[in-house]
Amino acid sequence: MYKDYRDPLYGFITVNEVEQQIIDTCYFQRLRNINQLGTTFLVYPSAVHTRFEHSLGTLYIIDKLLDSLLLRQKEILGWGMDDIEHYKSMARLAALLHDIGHAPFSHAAEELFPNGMDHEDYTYAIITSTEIGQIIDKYLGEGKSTTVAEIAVGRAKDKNAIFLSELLTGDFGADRIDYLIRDSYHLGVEYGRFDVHRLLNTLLVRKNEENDGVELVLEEGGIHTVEGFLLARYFMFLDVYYHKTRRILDCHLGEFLKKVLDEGTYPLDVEKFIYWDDHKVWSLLAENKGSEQVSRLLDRKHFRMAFETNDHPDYVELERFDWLKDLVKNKFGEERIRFDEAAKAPYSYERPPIFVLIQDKYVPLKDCSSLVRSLKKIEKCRVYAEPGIRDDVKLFCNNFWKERQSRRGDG
Amino acid sequence: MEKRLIRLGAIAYTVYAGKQKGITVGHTLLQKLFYFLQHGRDIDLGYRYRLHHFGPYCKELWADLNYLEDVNALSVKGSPSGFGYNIFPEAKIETLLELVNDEIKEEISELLNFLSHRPVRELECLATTHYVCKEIQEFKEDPENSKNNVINGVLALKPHLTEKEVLNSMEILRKKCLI
Repeated sequence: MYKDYRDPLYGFITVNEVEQQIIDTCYFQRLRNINQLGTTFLVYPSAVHTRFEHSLGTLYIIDKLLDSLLLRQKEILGWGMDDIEHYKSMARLAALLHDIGHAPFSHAAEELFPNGMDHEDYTYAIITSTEIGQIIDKYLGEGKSTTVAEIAVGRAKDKNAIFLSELLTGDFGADRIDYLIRDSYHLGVEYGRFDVHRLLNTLLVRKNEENDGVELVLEEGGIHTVEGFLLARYFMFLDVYYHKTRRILDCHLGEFLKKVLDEGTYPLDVEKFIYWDDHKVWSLLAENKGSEQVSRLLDRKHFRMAFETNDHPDYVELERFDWLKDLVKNKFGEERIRFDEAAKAPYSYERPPIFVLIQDKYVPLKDCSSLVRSLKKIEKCRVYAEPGIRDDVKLFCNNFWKERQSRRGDG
Repeated sequence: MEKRLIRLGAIAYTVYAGKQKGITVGHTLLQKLFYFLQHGRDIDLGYRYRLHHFGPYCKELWADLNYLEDVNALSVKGSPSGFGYNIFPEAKIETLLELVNDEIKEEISELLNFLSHRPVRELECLATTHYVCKEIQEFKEDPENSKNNVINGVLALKPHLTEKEVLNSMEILRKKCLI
């Protein structure tokens, strides 16, 4: 028995009976109440899509990606018909479940997981230790839930699982492909779009004789599509994922949650953790309405950006920003200031190390594309201040920065 | 100083010291050197390693390489074989060297001597063996009697390696006090 989910991007997404059983569990249904982009809807009003549809979309994309590779290069993977069915099932389940451990509002407040853990640790725990694991083991064989979990969180160990994990979590993986087009669709931003079908059809695999592994490479004809993909990701990072207001709202949300959570962290027990979703946080915000912390979020009394570096500060500027942080904290007081650095953001932008097949030779992508060469890693750093002191902080930071710049001789 | 800046300095120093020693630093060598620096020599650089085709691999290290290339401290070029990347010092590399202290420089220099002459396959075997030793609890408690578990663990992950290669790796790592 199969079930179709209607999807605005792909038409219909078909799941099988086992996948449907997993979707029907409380762990997966919870994803309906986890906003995909955290507090971004307070900046882009239509950013209200959830991890539920992204998880289904990721399953759809990995299925298409595998179909495309198997159609053209089955012999490189060395899989028989039974292997194909087995690995496809594992890949689809890993894609479906890859975000199941997300906390309320997705990446906002990730630092509140206990013991240095992150949402991937919770994803792993939910897949392996709940009824989801039992369903997978019954369907794919004893212990396979562990392999699915490892693929889902990028910790796969054997060569086929590592390959599937790359198809899911890698630079051109199903996760990235779906969230880019889904986010841009829901936000209404045109620059997040790219030719997804062409991308799926121009990715290839090659065998690495040295380690017996397989890795993704690109057909020459796919260079322009990949440029479109990387450009989309670049702009989405700058304008959406690292948007100045969204980042400070995430920060305020984290501060609020830290205060209301027992011991300031999410529960270690996944059975308790799953009660934490956006609805629960909204109800807590409503209960605390009127408090300073809630006003920052709901009444737009959030801290304002007082200073930011350019998109690509060099290491001297990074060091200078470190210095500036200490000075600003000392002058204005730690409580009235917040800092944010792109390097610590949940999404990051860098050039993928993929090779392109050109006339029987493998060439790094950046050597084939001046556009890829020119897209630099984003490292922007920011200072935020309480609304009342924003102008003073701005002046202080700008003066410090200009003075240091002129001493360096590049002012 | 922030870990991030120390990391950038440490990468720059590795490529710089490699050049001084007449070594071309490849991406795999760099990945494994930093793996051992962090997990063998306990210098916390904040990198998160996961198993990949050539053993433990860290995506953030690749991102840091991108950054250092952007600021003209080094260049990352495809290796002539068409597999993997080699890294070369560029004009601004020397200005980054002060971001890393002498203790770390010494460890890097020693690890370069230890790793740089080894082929990719051996680097993969050494790092994966170390990774498995760390994962297996009983190895920490009783290294002598848990050898077989380590061998089985490595071969399950990397079937193309041989038992002899894994045993040899364990011996090398033990002599070097990395396990």
